[in-house]
Amino acid sequence: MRTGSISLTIDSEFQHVFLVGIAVQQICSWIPLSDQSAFEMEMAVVEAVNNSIEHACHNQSGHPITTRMKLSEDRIIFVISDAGDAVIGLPEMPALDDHLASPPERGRGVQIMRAVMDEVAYRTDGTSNFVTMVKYLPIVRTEDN
Amino acid sequence: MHAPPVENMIMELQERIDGDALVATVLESRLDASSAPALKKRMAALIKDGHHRLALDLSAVEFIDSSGLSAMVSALRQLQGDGDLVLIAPRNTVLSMFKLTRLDRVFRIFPDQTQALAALASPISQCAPDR
Repeated sequence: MRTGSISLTIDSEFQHVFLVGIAVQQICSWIPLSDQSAFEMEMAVVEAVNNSIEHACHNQSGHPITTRMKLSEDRIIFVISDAGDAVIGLPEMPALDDHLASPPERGRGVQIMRAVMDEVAYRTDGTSNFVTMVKYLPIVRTEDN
Repeated sequence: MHAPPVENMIMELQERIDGDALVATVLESRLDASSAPALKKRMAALIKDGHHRLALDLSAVEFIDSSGLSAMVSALRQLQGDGDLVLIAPRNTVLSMFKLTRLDRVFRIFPDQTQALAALASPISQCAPDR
């Protein structure tokens, strides 16, 4: 399988996020991941970029948000970075069944990221913030002749 | 600069009345943070205008994020049990997000408009679909 990396940068406005999502989905489909897995990768990346716009950039445009996608033999790594305000960290995954009678309106983005990715981490270096998400790829074995 | 206000956002929504139910078909292929606020606002207006039996047709929606889910939860919360909001024909990928977030156990989801309208016309306890 071919490997490589790509970086996509958008301005911090929700109206641009779909471009990142479509690129992620198309690349994941090429790998190839299943339609469902490609959808989930798109979903997780869109949620991470949305969080950057809302929580780091406070819904203000003019801040670049970069999604770096690195494809290697056994995994795909997404790093979403911004230079906005740091947040305390990603919230822990709440129990999904606790609020069925009165479901909260918001707060599902990180749930989704954690559910569909194999690893999710957040760090800040004082200048920039980074959300790293990793999805392990199924190993394809080829027989030696 | 702040993001554009909700009133400037566009949501392609086709609405029709069927008995005492209102069927709204989302014509957007993406229900995301860019489009969901407009859906939320429109649903709120419909409920405020007295439409308490609502069916939202999602068959054209190819992508949904947590903002899209939130818009629907907001409408359901606004109803406060006085009425219902049911969902129609989400694609498998979209349906998977309802399942992942357990919202498939909050909303009643039907494969087509006929079944959704029949359910809305019946007492909720008599028409719960498989979830």
